[in-house]
Amino acid sequence: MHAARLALICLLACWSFGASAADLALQDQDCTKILERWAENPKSVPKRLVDACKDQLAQPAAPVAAAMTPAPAAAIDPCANGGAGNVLCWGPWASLAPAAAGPLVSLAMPEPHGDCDVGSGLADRCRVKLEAAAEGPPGYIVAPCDPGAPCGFATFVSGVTSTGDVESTSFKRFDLAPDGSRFVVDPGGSNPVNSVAMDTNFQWREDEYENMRANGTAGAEQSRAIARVIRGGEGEYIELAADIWAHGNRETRAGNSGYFAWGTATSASGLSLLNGEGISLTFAGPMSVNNATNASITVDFGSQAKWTGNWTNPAWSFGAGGSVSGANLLSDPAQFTSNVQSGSIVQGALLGEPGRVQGIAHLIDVRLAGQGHIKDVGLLHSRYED
Amino acid sequence: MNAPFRTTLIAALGLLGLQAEAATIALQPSQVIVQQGSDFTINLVLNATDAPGSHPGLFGGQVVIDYDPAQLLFTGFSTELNVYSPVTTGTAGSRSTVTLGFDHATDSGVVGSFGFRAIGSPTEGTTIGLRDADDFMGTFVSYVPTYQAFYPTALGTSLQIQAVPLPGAAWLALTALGAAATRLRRRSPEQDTATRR
Repeated sequence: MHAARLALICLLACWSFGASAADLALQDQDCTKILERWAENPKSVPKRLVDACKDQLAQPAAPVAAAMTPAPAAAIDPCANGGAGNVLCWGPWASLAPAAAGPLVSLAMPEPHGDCDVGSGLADRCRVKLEAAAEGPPGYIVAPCDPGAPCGFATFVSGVTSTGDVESTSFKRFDLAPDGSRFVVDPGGSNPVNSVAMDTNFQWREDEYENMRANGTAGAEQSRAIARVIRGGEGEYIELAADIWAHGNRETRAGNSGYFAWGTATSASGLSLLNGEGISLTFAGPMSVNNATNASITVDFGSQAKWTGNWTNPAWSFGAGGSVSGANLLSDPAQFTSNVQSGSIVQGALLGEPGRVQGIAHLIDVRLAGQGHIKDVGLLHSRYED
Repeated sequence: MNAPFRTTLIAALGLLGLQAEAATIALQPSQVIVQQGSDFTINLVLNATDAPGSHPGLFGGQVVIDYDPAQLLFTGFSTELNVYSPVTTGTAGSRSTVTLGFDHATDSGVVGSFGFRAIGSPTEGTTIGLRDADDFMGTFVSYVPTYQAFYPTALGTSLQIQAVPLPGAAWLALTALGAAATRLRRRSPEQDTATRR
């Protein structure tokens, strides 16, 4: 706690009063660690901190003193006894020495919101609210997907029936082990739901999917995933999966559940191929929360890839369109049909590789005039035609 | 309230027509009175017409039945449907259980048949309980067009074991023996009287 307080005061003091070369070096080292962590896991560091560090490191290098650890909060005052020029003459002392070098480029310090997540590399000085990273950039419902990485979306309700009131339904990112034995809801979030290890059972269906039942218990904890799946590698791994997830405690009878759609986001090379070909692909299928709703999304690949889609239910329908960024689809408010009210969002991700099983996992969070609020998740499927 | 009593109560309410308009999974015996030592079957019947999803659809779930092993002997389960979880026997306290999971059942109809033999003494009633194999999350799912869970009401059953009735020829033989015995008793005093004359 001493070190954290000292470091925070140090950075604030440097920001206010300028800094010595040693302080600049410390700042660059902090930014280096921050950017290294961001490179490993883009979702572990807020974007504004990344941008600030990029700006910081882009400045001409200032003379750097030998790497120093923050001075311990010792009783000895380094500013005393003619120590005003001492590089350690900063910090929580009554007389703060003027900076030996120019003023430090100020950093956009995030508001403290409790401790950092373990593993962020910033736990000793940074109290970042990492929930912001899980929510994704503005306009997205949840964090978007990285090309080539596992990618899934889920609804999240209280209880284990997977259904709930629309206003109490939230959306989360979802991840599934390739063999179906585990899942994580809201990975990287502040309160992820980690399933217990599950046994899986695959049975045939009369369409292109298989039926997967995954169930597991560990003490009082129980998890299940009942899903349509498409497997690859002669059944060695799951390529696409959708439908029911649940996790709870048999003793307390409490739990959470919902519906999900999951796969592996199309890789950068796959996207380049699709965009280079400039083709159009149509993906279609039923939604999961209300499976009377059928969805169809056409993606027009190219230099400025875009998409259009429509959702049809016996009681309502709407249309949408938007942009494609990497593997991610996001609605453009101007392209909704007239019955869609403001604040509505459609978010999706392209799954699978060209020439193989491809799909779209997507969320709809729309308010329709005369119909109310609709939230749903769906896996749409398209098989590439040679 | 123990499980067998609860399922019997639910069965009784169902028979009285107090069952709600919900999906059901029920046990229907081939006969409610079975003779001691006889074999009989109990059908497992699903009614999923009110379940979510498309209709006609496809449905699946896993069930557990329980019975008194002193009264009944389980002889097997037969079905034309896919069994995703094999038939497994076990115990629950003093009762025996049979567990199985099935797939691809249609909206309504017989899922399969349990075979039993009545091995116990004649009784006024012996119950066979039925429940979802997972009493927390449930196992029943509607598969078409996407998977959605539903929670059918489980209806057990009860039946009566009856003593084996004697055949008609045996009754005739007994009747004849009885008549003969009567004649012998009447003839004996008359012979004594003739002898004394």
